[in-house]
Amino acid sequence: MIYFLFLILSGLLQGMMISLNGQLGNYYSMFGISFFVHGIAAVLLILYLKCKEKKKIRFRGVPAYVYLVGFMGIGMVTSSSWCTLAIGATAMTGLSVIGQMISSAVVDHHGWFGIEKQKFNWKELPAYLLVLAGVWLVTTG
Amino acid sequence: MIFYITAVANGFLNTVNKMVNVKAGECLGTANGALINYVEATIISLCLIFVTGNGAEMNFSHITEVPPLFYLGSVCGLIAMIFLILGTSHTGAMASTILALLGQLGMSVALDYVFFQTFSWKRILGIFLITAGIAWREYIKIQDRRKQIKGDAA
Repeated sequence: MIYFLFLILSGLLQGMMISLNGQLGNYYSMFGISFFVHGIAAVLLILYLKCKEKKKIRFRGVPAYVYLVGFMGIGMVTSSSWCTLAIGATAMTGLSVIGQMISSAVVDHHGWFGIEKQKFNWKELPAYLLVLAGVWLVTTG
Repeated sequence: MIFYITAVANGFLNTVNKMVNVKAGECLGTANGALINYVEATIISLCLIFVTGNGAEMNFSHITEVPPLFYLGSVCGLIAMIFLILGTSHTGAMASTILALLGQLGMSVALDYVFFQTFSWKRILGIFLITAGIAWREYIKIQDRRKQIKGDAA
């Protein structure tokens, strides 16, 4: 039971993160938001690695495309903050969910990033339409 | 309209980012893999602040003007990640996806009310439809995987 609570708490905190990052947009440019969001997390992670795990920090030995992850992080934070300020956190989250569903289905179908191929099952289509209807209600509500 | 398209694009980026982060985690460990993202994004963002002519917002006086609570977004994100890992490892992908999404959308509704004074029952119904749709899709995926495992075993 406690683990279900952890999952709900995780979601609550993610929702809080999107809203708080959006509010930073009232004071900073999009790159300013990205700087603070990533910078604070980087400091906390470095402290965790050094104090708790006592591990050496290293960035080498990964495929070259992994180094693009910083640009993606900036893209995600700036776009979510920009949209949250304009359309609200609920609409932003709902629309992002649709984007995640479609893109994960494409990635699974083609087996990109070295994952096992999972062909798209047309039985899933009504589920997508249900989510789409929900997103429509959230964005127009 | 541009905000709606960008929000959907954010979801696309989220998926690709997750896959790349998983790869980084496989090579360097979870925390070290995540650190690449944060360190790189911090440095690039700082450069872009100055390139776009917004260097003034890095003044200490401006930084202290912002309510401290608004800086806590990334702390929430990190704690959320820990709860998600703990929760998922003991419950499974379906419960993890649905409960985390329900929590996330619930909190978004609450904070939209706090920051924008907007609330409607239509939105609550929308949240339940989104969650039901995700649950349905996860259920079909699990059924497919079971069939595949049975097929492989036979």
